[in-house]
Amino acid sequence: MADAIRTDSLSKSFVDFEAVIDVSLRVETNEIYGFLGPNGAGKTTTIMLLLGLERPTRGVAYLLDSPSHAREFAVRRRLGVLGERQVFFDDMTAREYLRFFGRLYSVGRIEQRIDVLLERVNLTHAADARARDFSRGMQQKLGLVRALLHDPELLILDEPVSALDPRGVVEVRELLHSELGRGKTVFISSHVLTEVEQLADRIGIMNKGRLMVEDTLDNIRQALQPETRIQIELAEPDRFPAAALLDLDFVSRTELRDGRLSVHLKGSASPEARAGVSRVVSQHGGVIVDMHAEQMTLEQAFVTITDEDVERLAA
Amino acid sequence: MGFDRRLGKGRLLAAWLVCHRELRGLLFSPGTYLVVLLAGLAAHLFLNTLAQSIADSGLAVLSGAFNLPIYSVLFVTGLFLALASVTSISREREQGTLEVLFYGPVDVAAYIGGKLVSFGLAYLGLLALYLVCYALFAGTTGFAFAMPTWAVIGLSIPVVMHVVALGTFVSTATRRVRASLAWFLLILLMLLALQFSPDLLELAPVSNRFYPPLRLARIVLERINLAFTWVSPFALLIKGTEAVRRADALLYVYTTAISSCSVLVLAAGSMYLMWKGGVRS
Amino acid sequence: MLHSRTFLLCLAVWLLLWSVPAVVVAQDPERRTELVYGVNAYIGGRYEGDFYPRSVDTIYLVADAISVVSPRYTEVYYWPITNREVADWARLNEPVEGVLEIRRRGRLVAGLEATDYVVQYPEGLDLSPAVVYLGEEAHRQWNHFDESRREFRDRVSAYYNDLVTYRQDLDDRIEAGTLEGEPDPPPREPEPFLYSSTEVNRGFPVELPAGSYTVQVRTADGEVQPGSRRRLKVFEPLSAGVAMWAIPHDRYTFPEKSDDEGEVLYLRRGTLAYLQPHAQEEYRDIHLTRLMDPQDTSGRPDLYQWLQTDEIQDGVLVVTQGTRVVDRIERRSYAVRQITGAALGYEIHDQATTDLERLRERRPDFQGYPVDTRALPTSFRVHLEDADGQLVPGSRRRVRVVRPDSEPWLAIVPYVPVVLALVFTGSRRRRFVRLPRDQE
Repeated sequence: MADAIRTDSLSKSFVDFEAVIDVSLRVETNEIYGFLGPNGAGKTTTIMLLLGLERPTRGVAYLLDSPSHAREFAVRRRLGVLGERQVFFDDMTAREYLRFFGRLYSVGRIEQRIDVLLERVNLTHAADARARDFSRGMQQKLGLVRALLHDPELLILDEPVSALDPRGVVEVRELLHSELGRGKTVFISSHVLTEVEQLADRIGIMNKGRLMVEDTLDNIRQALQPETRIQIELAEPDRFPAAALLDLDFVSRTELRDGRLSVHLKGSASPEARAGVSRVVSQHGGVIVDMHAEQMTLEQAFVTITDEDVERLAA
Repeated sequence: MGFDRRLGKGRLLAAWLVCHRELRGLLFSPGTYLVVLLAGLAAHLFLNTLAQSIADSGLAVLSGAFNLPIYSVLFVTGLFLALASVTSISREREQGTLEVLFYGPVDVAAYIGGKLVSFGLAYLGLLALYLVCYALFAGTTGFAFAMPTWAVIGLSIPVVMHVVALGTFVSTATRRVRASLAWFLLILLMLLALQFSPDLLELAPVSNRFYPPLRLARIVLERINLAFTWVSPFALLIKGTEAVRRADALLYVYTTAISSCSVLVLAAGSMYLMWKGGVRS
Repeated sequence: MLHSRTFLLCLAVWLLLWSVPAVVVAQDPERRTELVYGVNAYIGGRYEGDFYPRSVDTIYLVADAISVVSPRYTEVYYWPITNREVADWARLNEPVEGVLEIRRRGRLVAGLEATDYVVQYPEGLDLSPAVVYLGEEAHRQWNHFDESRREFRDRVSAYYNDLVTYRQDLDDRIEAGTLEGEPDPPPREPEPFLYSSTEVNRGFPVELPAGSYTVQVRTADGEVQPGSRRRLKVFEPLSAGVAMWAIPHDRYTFPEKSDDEGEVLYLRRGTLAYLQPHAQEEYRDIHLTRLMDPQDTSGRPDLYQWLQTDEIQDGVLVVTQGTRVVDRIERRSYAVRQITGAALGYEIHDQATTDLERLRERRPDFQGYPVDTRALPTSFRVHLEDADGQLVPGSRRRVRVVRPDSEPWLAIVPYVPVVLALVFTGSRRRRFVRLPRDQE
């Protein structure tokens, strides 16, 4: 399957600093890619380089196999972009604004399409109000509608939920999942890590202009935290031979303390590992009352990766 | 963002939509109506004064009764459109709407082209409006639309577009509305100064051998002025007006052609600057 | 920092010194001896005399007509009131001896010897074209002029003697009571002496085709006289045309002039206007301005000027509407009478038809073609036809007869778009959906 986005050693230098350094990322077709990084990490510049709105100092970016420096209008029509800041043309209503872009992208049956999308983000009531009078959340939803209006193959979203209330977040999440279900690719740059954690198939984390890591969240966890721990609460802990678990390859050690059994695993607490532990406990007559894995959250991973001490990961 | 080699249907569509949006903005702008009012009042004042003068003295000789009103329209409308063009792109850049447009199937050629065409169409629309008013006046008074008047109207189109293209160029070269305005006014003042400084220096005592710096300054300004004769829209307007007066078709065509070429050069310069400088604020 | 301040201060003082009012200098003008060129330049049928100080390096002359240049030593000083360098001929006026060389692209075109010349206006200054006479002929014509002038003085003297005698005789007869009926007419005043001439002067007559040249004086020892080299620009008229003066019947002192065929002559309905055609030539503004005043640098190369020459005396004014000839108007002579008293103004009388004998007999004040709007359509064209029935180039004019008043309702026209704008934008704003406060 072809990559929806690919960059090769993409770099961008300004007069006094390097905003993006040798970024080589890859977004597969029909996946949601979370693009993370602290403020000033170079995320927005990378997006601008992808879109061809900034010219790279070095390297090249491909969107839908089209290089950024010679992008045809036909390819641009297959992109849907939501910028970080929502801006609207003077005095236009939401419907007029969407109509303008509908014509620009040669959307058929514009009015029908506008009505459907506004309905999906719950903005039908504001269709004929001036867009610049909208609340920030409404503006963000309107921007998303604009990005989806022409049914693009690839969505590039910069902070799509930052101004939304919880209900709005759910609406957008459902919208993006449904787009994914229709074979679309979504590239999300966001600070709302919980949202990315829930949505993204793969994640790329930028720091100081470099792409520190790019992988699935599980793999990133494993890379950051070689050992994970499963906490088990047993019905009769004193009768269970904890050493029996050491027969499992992926268990490094066990501890029984205060009636709770801690099992240290070599690697992540994958469903297979959890099933293995559970089976061994049952075979030795143990009754599991509660079991949960203590693994790294995306937030912890993010903080760890963007910490200067772990720059080694980038290697 | 790069230049597409062929001017395809998509680019034309994008240019037309940019143009349409700009025209729509002008249609709802109070400034447009203020300009129409000012130009209309000035034209009415000129025509009334002229009618009064003929009533008093019995006769008047004019190359066209509507020439002065046309010049007043040219001045007021041209200045308005120039200011609109000079703030147009930097304002969009400042607001971020420029970036949003370029996410989609829009490139610098479509955008700059659309902008310039919109200002041209706006001028033609306003001109048509004024001409209807003049026709009413001509019909009731007996004033004629003489050939020189049509020639001046024809000349005014490339000259206004020249100023608008200059405004667009400045707007593309700068990133803030204030800076655009400041630079544009500075350039206009410089062109005006070049136009009239030799005449002003003529008043200075340059023949006196005690004043060689002034003499030198005047010679230098005269030379620069001569060079700018073919660049400055003011100089081209004067040259074109002179061609109309002398019924010099060759000079008229030459002047309008130079003005039109300047529009193309400035448009190409604007495209290059935007391509080079990007669309972000 | 201190240094830069000192520098700026010095700069300011220096600039101030440069801009000290020239009047200060004028208190005691500094004179210098210079080689200047005195020029009697032909232009449009007459001669303009001026001098080119050393600071003006280009002499301007009209092509294919004799102009006379005369290099001389004189004292020059700057006169701030007129912002001009002035020659003090009274203190020094010494001709530069030698041959005047004229070169074009380095090649010698002419080597002229100085000769005597005189410029005359046989029919009077501004009334007839100037004629220049050279060499012996100059002296003959000067003598002729001098003789004519002496004869005129004699005629004037005789006239006054006759007048005294006539008055004396009239007084005697009145006193004696022998005056019966109309007295004899008084003696006729001699025609005014309009013949005009310069004195015989010496200079180099120059007659060249258009182009750029250099001039210099080569002395008898073969050397170029220092300070004598100047550029010489010889130009020709760009086109010929007809200036049409229009004199309104009731405002004799406010004529209007139309230079170009593109111009329209607007006449109030009921106006009678007299058209006076004059020949004219078109020149570049810079050429004509410099020729008229060598020290005037305001002339522009991209502007043009008409120079009116002679009144066109032959021909018929043809009035046309479309292709149809509406009228053919002959040139007529007019006398102007000043109205005294409260009315104060002028009356224009056709000398052929006026009842006033005094006006009939005197020399006409002007001649022209009467265009009477009462007898003509509201829109027509006029042109001049010469004696051969040919159109005189540049004489065509469009004439419109306009109403003296305009419709008052036209005053509201400029406001109509504003009213439309208010209605338009107002209705659009009303169509906007208003969001609840908490959603804005």
